[in-house]
Parts: sequence; C-alpha cells; structure tokens
Amino acid sequence: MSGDVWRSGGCHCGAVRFEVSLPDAVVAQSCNCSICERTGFVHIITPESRFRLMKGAEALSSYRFNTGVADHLFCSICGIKSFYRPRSNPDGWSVNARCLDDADALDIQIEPFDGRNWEAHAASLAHLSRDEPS
Amino acid sequence: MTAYEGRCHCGAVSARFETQIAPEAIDVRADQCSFCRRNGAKTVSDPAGTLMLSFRERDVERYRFGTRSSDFIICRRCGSFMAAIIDGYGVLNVVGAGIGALAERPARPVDYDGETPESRAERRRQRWTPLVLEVAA
Repeated sequence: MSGDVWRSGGCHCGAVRFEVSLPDAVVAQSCNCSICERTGFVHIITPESRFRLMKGAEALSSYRFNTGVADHLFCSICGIKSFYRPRSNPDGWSVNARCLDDADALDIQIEPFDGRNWEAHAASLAHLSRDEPS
Repeated sequence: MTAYEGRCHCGAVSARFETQIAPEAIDVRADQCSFCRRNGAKTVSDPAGTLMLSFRERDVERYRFGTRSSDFIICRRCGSFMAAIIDGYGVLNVVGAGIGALAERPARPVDYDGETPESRAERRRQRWTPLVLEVAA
C-alpha cells in the first residue's frame, strides 16, 4: 500500500526491537481471551513481508498453550510481549500497538475481538496477514 | 473482608489480595510509566490489607528499571506481569493476574514521574499493600 512507513517499536528494556510497515491510520483489535486479557495486548495484524525483527531474537521466550498454534513471544528480561505469531494469522504477525515508539502519531482505531469465542470469529481476521496484490 | 484471587496465565505465580475496602470503592489505577503502559497494567493496593504472592523463585524474573527501587515480578514461563514489590510491600497488577472483577473496571491514570527517590519510597510505604511472599526454591 502506498504511503506506508516502516515504524519502530520494541519491548521495555530495549533487548527486542522490530519494525513494521504501517499507514498513518490503522485498525487494531483488543481481544478478551485469557492470554490477551493478561498482557493488555492491542493487535495490529500484519503480513509477514511488513514485519522485520531488528534485534533480540535470542532474548525472546516462547509460550504456547491450548492448540499450540500461536507462538506467544515475550522478552525474557522485561517480560514485554511486543509482537507474536497469532493463531488467527499464522502466516503473519501481530504487533502490540502499545509497543510502537510513535503510537501517539498514529490514528489507531481499536475494535473489540471476541477471542473467548475464537472459533466463531477468527476467520474475520484472516485477510489481515495477506499481502495485497500489487 | 473480600479476597481476590488471581494467577498468571500458566499458573506458576499466584496472587491473593485481601481488603476491607468495598469493591466499588477500590481505587483501580493505570500508571502512565513506560512499563505499565506497555502492559496495559491496572494496579490496586490497600495499606490495611494483605497481598500474598506465591511462586518458585526459578519461575519469576525480577525486572528493575529507572530508579531500580522495586522488583517487577514477571512469570518466566508465560510473561505475565504480576506485581511490583519492595521490602514488605507490594502493588498488584489485576490485569496480569487475571482478576476480571477489578481488571474490567475503568482505571484512574496516575503519573509519578516527578517524584524524588525519597518521596517515591514514602508513597509506596504509605499506599502499597503489606506483602506476604511464599517463595519456594
């Protein structure tokens, strides 16, 4: 998409840093499932091609539960989950809007996602990790 | 007395907050510091109550930053941020502990950025909850 800009973000201690290509206005999801509730994660789901880990792969801890599809990644030093591989979009990434350096400069519209009834709703997110045809 | 029980996502760290404060009168706070904002943390405390935290030491990371004057208790297995503690006192993150009755409440934003180390220590002793740690090896 034209107008997208690579934006930086990361965990709290600085060990994990990433960049994600986003437009000025994005729609994010706030999920009510057991893990998202505990981490306060605000999801910006993005295709694989629009995310790059700049540093900190060795600092990431992985947590899996239930189906084990989602790879919940958090910094082993400060605990912050700045991005992860979501079960709804295993071909892409979900970036935590709370962990963007310039979140205040973005127009982020947050919509609720009913992750407690994941099976009934996950398909509505599938398109978010697909690359648009150029 | 009301007891609120919570745990991190994987269950390695559990928490119990006992208070005489009426549920609707509990002051749920959203600290605006860089760490709490990333966690979407909401904290509660009661100087007349009790906060109990139970875990095995090897299951937690004690993260420090800034003035390095408190330990942020994080589960090493699932990443949940549970509480901030100093000697004898603590403040519970009801979001990380999964205590929905309090986590679903709107939180009052608070910002302690201008504090001196002395005033910060004094505020914590005055407002945080007396802490009981049950730590196994």
